[in-house]
This record gives sequence, structure tokens and C-alpha cells, in this order.
Amino acid sequence: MKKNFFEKYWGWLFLIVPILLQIIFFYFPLFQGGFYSLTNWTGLTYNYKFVGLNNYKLLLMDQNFAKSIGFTAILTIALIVGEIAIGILVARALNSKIKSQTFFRAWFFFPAVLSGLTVALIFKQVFNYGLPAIGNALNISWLQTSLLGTDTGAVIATIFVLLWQGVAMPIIIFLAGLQSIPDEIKEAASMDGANSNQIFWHIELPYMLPSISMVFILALKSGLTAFDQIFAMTAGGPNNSTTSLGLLVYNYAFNNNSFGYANAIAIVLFILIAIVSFIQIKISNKYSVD
Amino acid sequence: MVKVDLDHVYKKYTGNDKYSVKDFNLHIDDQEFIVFVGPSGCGKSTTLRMIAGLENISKGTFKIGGKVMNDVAPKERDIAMVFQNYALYPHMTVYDNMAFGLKLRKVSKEEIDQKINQAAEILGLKDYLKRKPAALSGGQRQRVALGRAIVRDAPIFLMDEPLSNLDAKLRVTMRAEIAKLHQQLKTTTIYVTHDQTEAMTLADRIVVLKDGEIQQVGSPLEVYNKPANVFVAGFIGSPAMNFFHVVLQNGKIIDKDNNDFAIPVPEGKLKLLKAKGYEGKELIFGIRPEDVHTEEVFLEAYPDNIVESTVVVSELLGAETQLYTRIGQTELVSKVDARDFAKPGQKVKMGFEMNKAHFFDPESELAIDN
Repeated sequence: MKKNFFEKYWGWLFLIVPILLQIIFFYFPLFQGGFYSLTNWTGLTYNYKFVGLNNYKLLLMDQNFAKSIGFTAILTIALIVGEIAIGILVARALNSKIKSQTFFRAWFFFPAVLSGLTVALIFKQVFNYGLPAIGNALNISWLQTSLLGTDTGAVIATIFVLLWQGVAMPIIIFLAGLQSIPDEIKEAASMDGANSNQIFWHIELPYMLPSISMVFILALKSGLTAFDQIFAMTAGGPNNSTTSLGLLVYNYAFNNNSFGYANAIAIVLFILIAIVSFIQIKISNKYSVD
Repeated sequence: MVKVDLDHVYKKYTGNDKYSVKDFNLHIDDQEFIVFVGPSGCGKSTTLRMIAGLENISKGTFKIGGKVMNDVAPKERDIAMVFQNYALYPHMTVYDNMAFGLKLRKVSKEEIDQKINQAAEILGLKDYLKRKPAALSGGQRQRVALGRAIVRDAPIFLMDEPLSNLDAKLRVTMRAEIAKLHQQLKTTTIYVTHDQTEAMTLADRIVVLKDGEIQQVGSPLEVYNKPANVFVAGFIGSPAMNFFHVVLQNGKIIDKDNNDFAIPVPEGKLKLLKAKGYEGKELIFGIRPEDVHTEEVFLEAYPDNIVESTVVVSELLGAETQLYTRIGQTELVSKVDARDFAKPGQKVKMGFEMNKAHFFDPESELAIDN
């Protein structure tokens, strides 16, 4: 009897460690965060008061929060559109018969193995010193000052850097998606009278929907939670124009010592990601190739 | 009228130093059903793909209706093709699979509807139009693939081993359906297979290929009765033809290796062989399994044509028996009456029907007698 029980459930033994780790480092902080979002905890002492939904009410009136939501939305949309569009374009190029295919595949994947912080610091130098030097040399006035110094310039630069690094993974994912399409199907389509454009829209794209939906979620997540590169490159400035929600949470928690309030923002962020992911999965399941 | 002409067509893949298809010459008439047959790697699919435009032609000219098509894109050739793995669009319903080519050609909705219904009627797919390929059986998928070709009203059909993924029974049914379809539609068809039964039953003309070269072109009966060389003789017919190395002496063929038999050659054939100077020389003698007899009547009528053999394996197939026997060191396969089932090790007398014997030159391996 005892032996039977062990034989039946011994697989759980292997799961105990990861489950425990997940509870300690994922679910517990999640609920803890939810709890603190209902308090006025400063993060410095153990004294806090329960304030109900007050933090969430404050959020609705917070100018910084509104601005941050705006920037995060722009960044996220740019990342989603950019990673999908550029990713598919590059993947198609890498999938065609070109010379040094392996080299180019490695080349385009390279940014993915770099640390976000490193990339940001390199580009900070490029924007602050590299581009202005080129601007001065060629007498291009808008390049002569650092892009990171103006609101719009900083937003564009941030999007560029995040895309530059973020598109590496999608390229590989799309490449795998493209390679899963049997040649015969594309040949059948060309015999049916489709040109390469039509083959792309009618055959390749439907086949890549699972990859697209995966990249969508990856880009969504990286856009909504963008932090390290922005922190290193602009620190949210100028004028909070590049303060992402992640950065805002950080600023409120560690600069303003409003841990409770920061947690409320984090919870809103969590709900946002959950809703969009859920809708996205529903939609892509409907259209994907079985 | 659609004629298809292949003149001195060659194919060499980049990185290969040998030609995959060599000096391919073939002129296909309107409404003809042509079957390319040969072992794998003989270049039959490559040739089909060159006709389709999926592979470019290295050398030579390819014409449809007299117009050179070498550099015309597949979509401009107006050819419909059925692929070995069906190549259905998995994300589209059966209806959309068939409609795809028509939609691209901007055919009106009513006409598409009408054409698909007509094709679905012919192929028995009416109840499945709204299904996706994943929900269909192998045979149904094959039918959809055929339907996709039919609705196009293309003047030329290409079929690349369309039945090879089906089980034996379904293959026979679908084979008959393809034959029926061709009788109805009369579309010029080029069909690739490695199955010689498909070739024999479907073709108006068979093209036998080996190592990228045409071995023989002819009607199924021609190819069967008058094989041009040893390869064709051995490839067409099941079980394959038996071959012996013999020497022609005094009007008899004598087993070269072991002197196991000496059989007289019939008058007409002997004359021809002598005229061509084979007296006293080596020959390859071929005889089909069905031309080897064990019936008493035959053995009594041709006592000189009898060879003694030892049974190795005996396969009873119901109506007939296939005897795998040994004459000296050489294997002999024969198709005999079911009653003549024999046990392994048993000695059996075999009579060769010499009027149906085939003779080939041992060096060129070309047929001598036709």
C-alpha cells in the first residue's frame, strides 16, 4: 500500500523544488505586492496603514502616471509593430538563398546575447558623442546636439535601441516559422498562380501566426516592463518623456519612498499585460494553422 | 490543342558534376496520358518539375503549344499539378483550397461556386467542402488535390506520384478514378510514378527512365512485349523477367555458366539471331515468369524446352502460384497455376515458351529480336 502510493506520486518529488521556488519568488511577491498596494507603506519602516483603494484613486489623477502610460503605450506599440514587421522582413531575407547565410543568421542574432545595460551604455555614447560628431563633420544641424536631449529625440532613440536589441529573438522565431512551411505548399501555390507577394499573404503569414503571436507577447512584455536600457540611457528624462511604467514604479518606490503607491502601479501593469495577452491568444488561436 | 515538346533537355543541379536529366526528347500530343516511370533517382520527378517551372532547365528547349516556355514562371504556364504529399493549404477549407487558384485569377464568385460544385460532384467531395484538410482521410485529401487541379481547367495536368501515400486498396480505387477522370476531361496529363502497374494501367504512352536518360517510349503493350533493353525488360512486369547468360550453338541456347540447359530457339527467332551474327556467341536470354509453364500439356508438347529446377520458395496467391526456383546457380521466377504449388526442395520440370523469349546483346544490353 505504502509502496504503491510512492510509486504513483514519486514524480512530484522532482516538482517540489521548482514549485517551492515559484511560490517563494513569484506567487508570494505577487500577493504581497497586491496587499501593499492597499497600504501607505514607505518601504523604510514596518509601520504602515491600510488605506484601501486610495492609492488607485491617486493614480487616476497622477500626471506622471498619465505621461508614463502614454510613453509606455507608444514604446510598446512601436516594439510590437517593429519586432513583427522587421523580424518577418529580415527572417524572409535570411531564409532565401543568399551567400553566407549562416554568418548573417549569427550576425542578426548577436544583439540578443548582449546585456541590455551594455547595449544602452554603448548607444548612450553613440547618441551623446558619436552622432553629434558626425553632425558637426557633415554640418547637419539636427544631429549636432544629442538626440537624448530633446523629448521627441529621446523617445525615438529609446525605441530605436530597444528595437535594435529586441528584434534579434523574433528574427530567429520567424525563421523557424518560415522553415516549418513545406516547400510543396509554396510550390502548389505558385502553380495555382500566386506570385511571391500572394504566397506571403495567403500561405506564409497564416503559417507564421503562432510565431507572430509569440513575438507579440514577447514584445508586449518587453515594452510594458522596459526598464534597464532606459534607466541606463535616459533615466526617464528629459522631462519624464521616457519614463516607462517600470521606471515610474522604481522612482516612486525608491526615490519617493512610496512603496504602497508603486505597488499599485505595478498591479495595474500586471492587469494590463494579462488582459492584452489573453485577448491576443484568443484571436491568434482562431486564425492559426492547425 | 496543347502539344508539349521537350527537345534535348538537360538538367544539372548546382554543385553536381553529373547531369540529373540527359538529352530528354519527348513530344506529347494533345489529350495524351503520359507516364514517366523508373526507379528513384532516375530523373522523372526532376523532368516533371522542369515542365512545371519549379526547376529551371539547364539546356534544351521546352515548348507548350509551340511556344518556348523555358523562362516562363510557373504561374504563367497555366499548368495544374498534383503533388505527392497533396500539398493542401492546411489553413483553408476544402472549398478554399480549390478556390484559391481561381480567386487569384479573378474568376467571378458564381463561376468559382459552379466549378467547385461540379468538381466536388465528380470526386464525391460534396459533404466535405467546409472541412479543413486535417479532418480528411488520405484518400479524401488526394481527391481535394485532384479537385484543385480540375477546377483550374488547365490544359495540362502534372501528377507527381499522387498515389504513393495511399494504402494498397485505396491506391487501386484512386488509380481507376484517375483513369476515369482522364476519359472525362481529356486533359493532357503527365504522370510520374515508380509503380509499373500504375504506368501500365493509366498510360497512353510510357516513358521508361534510368539515370536521367530515356530508355524507351511506347504504349504499355509495346514496352511490355518489345522491351528495348535489359533494363526495361526487367523493370516492366511483375515479377520481373528472368535473365540467363547463354551461348547460341547449333540452333540451341546453352546455359553459359553451368550447361544446365540446352533449348532450341524457334525458327523465326533463330534466323534473325543468325542473320545478326550471334551464332556461337554469347547472348542474354530473357523469359517472363508467365511464359514459364508447368502444365503437363505444355511439357508434353515441348519436351525439348524442359528445364529441371529446384523449388526455393513457393507463394500461393489464390488464383496462381509464384514459384521461386533455382536452375544451377541461377534463380528462376515463374507464375504458374495454383495447383502447381510445390514444397521447397522439390524438383519441378519447367517448360519455356520460346516464342515469347527475348534476346539481348550482352554488351550493349539492347534487344536483338525487335
